[in-house]
Amino acid sequence: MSEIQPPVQGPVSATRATERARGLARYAADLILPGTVLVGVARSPHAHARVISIDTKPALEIPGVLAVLTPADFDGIELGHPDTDEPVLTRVARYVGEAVVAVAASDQDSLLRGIEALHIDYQVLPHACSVADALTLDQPLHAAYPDNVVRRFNAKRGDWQAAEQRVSTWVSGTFQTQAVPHAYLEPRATLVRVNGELLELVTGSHFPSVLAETYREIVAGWGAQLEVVTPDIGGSFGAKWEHPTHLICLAFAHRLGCDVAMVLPRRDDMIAGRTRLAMRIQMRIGATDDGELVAKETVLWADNGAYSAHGPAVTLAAAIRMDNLYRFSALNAKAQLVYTNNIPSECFRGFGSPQSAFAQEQLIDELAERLGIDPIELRRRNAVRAGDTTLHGWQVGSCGFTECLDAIQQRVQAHQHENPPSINSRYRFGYGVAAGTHGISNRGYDRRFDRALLSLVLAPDGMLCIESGEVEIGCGTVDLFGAIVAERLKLDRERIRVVLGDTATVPYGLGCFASRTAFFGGRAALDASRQFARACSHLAIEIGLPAKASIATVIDTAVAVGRTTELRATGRYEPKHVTLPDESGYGNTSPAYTFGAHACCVRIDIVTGLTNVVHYWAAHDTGRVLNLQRARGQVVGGVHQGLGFALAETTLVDNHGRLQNPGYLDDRVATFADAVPVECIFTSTFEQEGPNGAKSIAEPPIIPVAACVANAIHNATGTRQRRLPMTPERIWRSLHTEG
Amino acid sequence: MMPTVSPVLRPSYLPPVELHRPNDLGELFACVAAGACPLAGGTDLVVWASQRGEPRQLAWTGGIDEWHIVDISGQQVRIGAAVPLSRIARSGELRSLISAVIEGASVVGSVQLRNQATLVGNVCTASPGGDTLPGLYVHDAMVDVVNAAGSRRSIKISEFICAPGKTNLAPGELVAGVTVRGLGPLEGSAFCRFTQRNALDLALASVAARVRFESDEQTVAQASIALGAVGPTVLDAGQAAALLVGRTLEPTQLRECANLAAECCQPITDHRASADYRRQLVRALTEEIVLAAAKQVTAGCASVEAS
Ligand SMILES: Cc1cc2nc3c(=O)[nH]c(=O)nc-3n(C[C@H](O)[C@H](O)[C@H](O)COP(=O)(O)OP(=O)(O)OC[C@H]3O[C@@H](n4cnc5c(N)ncnc54)[C@H](O)[C@@H]3O)c2cc1C
Repeated sequence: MSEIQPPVQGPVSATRATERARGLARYAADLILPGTVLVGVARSPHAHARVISIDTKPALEIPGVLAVLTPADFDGIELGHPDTDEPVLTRVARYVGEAVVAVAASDQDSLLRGIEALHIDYQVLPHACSVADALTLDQPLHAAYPDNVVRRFNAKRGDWQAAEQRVSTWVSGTFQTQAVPHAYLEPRATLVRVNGELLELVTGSHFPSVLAETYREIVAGWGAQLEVVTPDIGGSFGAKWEHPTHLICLAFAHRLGCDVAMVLPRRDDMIAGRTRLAMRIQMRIGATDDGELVAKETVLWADNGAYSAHGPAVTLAAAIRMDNLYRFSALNAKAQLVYTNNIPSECFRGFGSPQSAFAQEQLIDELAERLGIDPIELRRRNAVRAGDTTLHGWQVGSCGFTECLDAIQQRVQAHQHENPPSINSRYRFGYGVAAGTHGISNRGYDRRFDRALLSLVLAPDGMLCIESGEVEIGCGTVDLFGAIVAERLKLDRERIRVVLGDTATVPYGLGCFASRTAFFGGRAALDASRQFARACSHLAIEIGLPAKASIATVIDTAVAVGRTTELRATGRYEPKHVTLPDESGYGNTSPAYTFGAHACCVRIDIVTGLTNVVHYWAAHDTGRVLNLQRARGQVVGGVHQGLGFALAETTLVDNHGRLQNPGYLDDRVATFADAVPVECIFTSTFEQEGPNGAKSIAEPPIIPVAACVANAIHNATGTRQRRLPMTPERIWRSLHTEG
Repeated sequence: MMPTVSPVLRPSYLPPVELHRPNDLGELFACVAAGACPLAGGTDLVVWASQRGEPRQLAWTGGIDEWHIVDISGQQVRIGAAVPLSRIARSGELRSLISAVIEGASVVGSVQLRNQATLVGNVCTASPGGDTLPGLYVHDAMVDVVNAAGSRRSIKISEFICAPGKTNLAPGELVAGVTVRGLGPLEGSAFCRFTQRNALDLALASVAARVRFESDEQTVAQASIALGAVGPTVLDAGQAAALLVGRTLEPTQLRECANLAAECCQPITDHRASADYRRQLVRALTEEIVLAAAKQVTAGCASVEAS
């Protein structure tokens, strides 16, 4: 039974947002005290080279240089999640910018002199900066993978032969998506504070609890202990997990016995950062004459870069997730993840789906054109619905996909009505549509469990503390947890303090990824509130208050009589109906799924190829909206990030594997001057399993964007864009060669 | 394979710098003589210092009072070396007198950047893509150079800038300001650039044009066109401009002129754009900007009539 509740419309207490806008947020770099030892690294100038010798003596002779670490100091330690393949300091450089030697110094000038004084000899090896080159390179980049293929995935569902026979029309294409950096505002910053044998790692991260778990094993070997402290984080979008800088700083702090810090300059953050996986996707989709989508085949190659990180999981997701949008009869997906000498890749908002949506949603559009069916109507006819179990095993609970499609159709028609097509020799206008879907968490992420814990602890001063390992990476989690607890316990928000991620105090949490935090943490917050209320009514009776006394009254009395320690509760959420996916990704991996449909109107300057997005509509089924302003923020942000991916952003690597655009001048993320009007529409879906009916909104808004714009460009100009980013020059060229 | 020795990639931290803040020319020249590098807004210099680790001695030019002056006398405009771009971009008077320069100054970087960056800094950086430069070329800018002995020389901007990033400023010399010839009667100028982003971007190509009409307001009496970001320095497309003289601005005339401009430029292919795309942009921008310059004359007359 769904009790339909309207989205929370009223004024939003966005305390964290206000703090940030006023410059009060404190990031890791703001916590570095004067006199802290500074750390820097010497990076490989080669894409692939063996380090033959390192002479650290000239560096150590520089006054102010305190210590140097070389690969030998980290023998046997490799990072990665879940596969480990990345050294802390490397003996074989596998991309330009990889850290080889680390230096600690008392000040920045000595640090720079120290780094420049190092002698490092390399033997240059043949390198491959594209998947095609890596597959033909007779030199494995990692000894364990002779053909440079990290992982192969195969997912076959349904009766392919039977389905194939029913297809009357096939459309196919090969699509190329690019690597882009995450472009968070706060570059990677690490501070390690030393407290006896305890090392405190201060750094923004998606998963402090897991980080602590991973590093504790390593530092235990040095006889040290470790906790992670989570400061404010200036964005991540999927980039900030384990990283060599953490261990370099931990090792120096332990060796020198004093606080050390390392803040990457922007250029270094980009050359030694992480990127979205570039993919080459061959896809074909077959339908019947009356527009039933029957079969889909995907062959995908993903560029892993030098190290794996979440590459395997992203590749599998890219190969299959978007299939779940439509009621196909048969699916056949093959994917290969390939090591190259590029910057290590990493998951990035959308987890592979923006890449595969770029292919799939363009092909759906082509099908619509071939079959003479309106593209929205074609999607509606085949749309997944509530109660479906998809071919990949998703058990779809609430589903507002068709509602999203209806909403954008209505908006686009109204816009077309108000703006009749103008005849212009220079500018062409067009409309595009695309859709997307996403899970909420992923049962396969950590094979042990998928759950969230959240504690409510009454402090002696009467403040109610929310403590959880489910962290904020800028999506508004702190405010959301605070609002849920305040509402449930009828407490002023001012009486609630939120502490997320400090591993010394908070319960273990898997962290913020896969659009899971509001859903999992929100459910745990509701559970904790329930238990806390129960504890309050027990205490009320014991201390002679009426059983129905308000929580605030019980808390005040508990403070007055010194019984605050009795008021604490740990809430928990662990979904029951999810299943561990098999090797091919089959399984009900999430407790709920989100859906969305986007549309846009573009104006193309055919003289220069410049695309202008005139208007953008984004309809999302996110369950009940818990905070309208925040939800809109996520959608508008996601759309703009998607527009950067669609039209402008890229990592340009020259023949030697050197990044040619290590900065925002030539990695053209949108600025405020590029903002386009985005109309956000939320469906009336209520998700039984979600906290107060909610699902999630973090990743979904970026997924359809590139495909949506590509479809609009086609509608305007008649040319198909198979390659990202769709820069003015590429569009101009395609107009000249095709048109 | 022979092992090769390579330098380490240096982190791009800003090195520790010493900033001198002289209050008069004498002190400034003393600093420069002692090896300091002149610093105006620092929007180029600080970026270079981070990337290259030098210079580490900087002498701020903002303390020189007379370098803050913008002087308009008749058709002449003189802009001092410490004047930030936002100050000239705000001025309505300058906008009608040296339109092409001001249109360039108004699109450099972003609001924050223009509050800091100077016109003279843009000139001394001598980038072929400097946004104020094409305008300065068509406005016959003269660069005022001074030395410690107090002697002055005035150099045509096309001679002052000799190669990408290179000027013929001698050691110990400084630029005191730039003097430009403003628009006279029946004259208009305009500037336009093509970027992929609406702020904080560099031009893939840019064009400035200046047009003077005969008294019939239709026949071109004189024209000049300068092209940015499509050669080692800003290029004077004199031949293309000459095609317009003695004619009216009919579409075929404009197209011919734009085609010639596109032909005579020398763009490179790099990670930002290919040479032939840049040529295409020059073609598109030239047509557009010659018309815009012409429109300034006709629109300007219209407003005179109206008042
Ligand atoms: C984010 C960003 C965006 C940018 N966008 C643009 C853009 O859109 N278009 C564009 O054209 N440029 C752009 N630039 C480059 C830069 O802002 C401009 O070139 C600016 O005009 C430089 O002026 P400045 O006062 O900051 O110069 P500074 O950096 O102070 O100096 C530049 C050079 O001039 C020399 N110099 C300064 N004053 C004197 C003097 N009096 N005598 C002799 N030499 C002197 C300096 O020694 C230095 O070599 C951008 C830069 C950044 C960082």
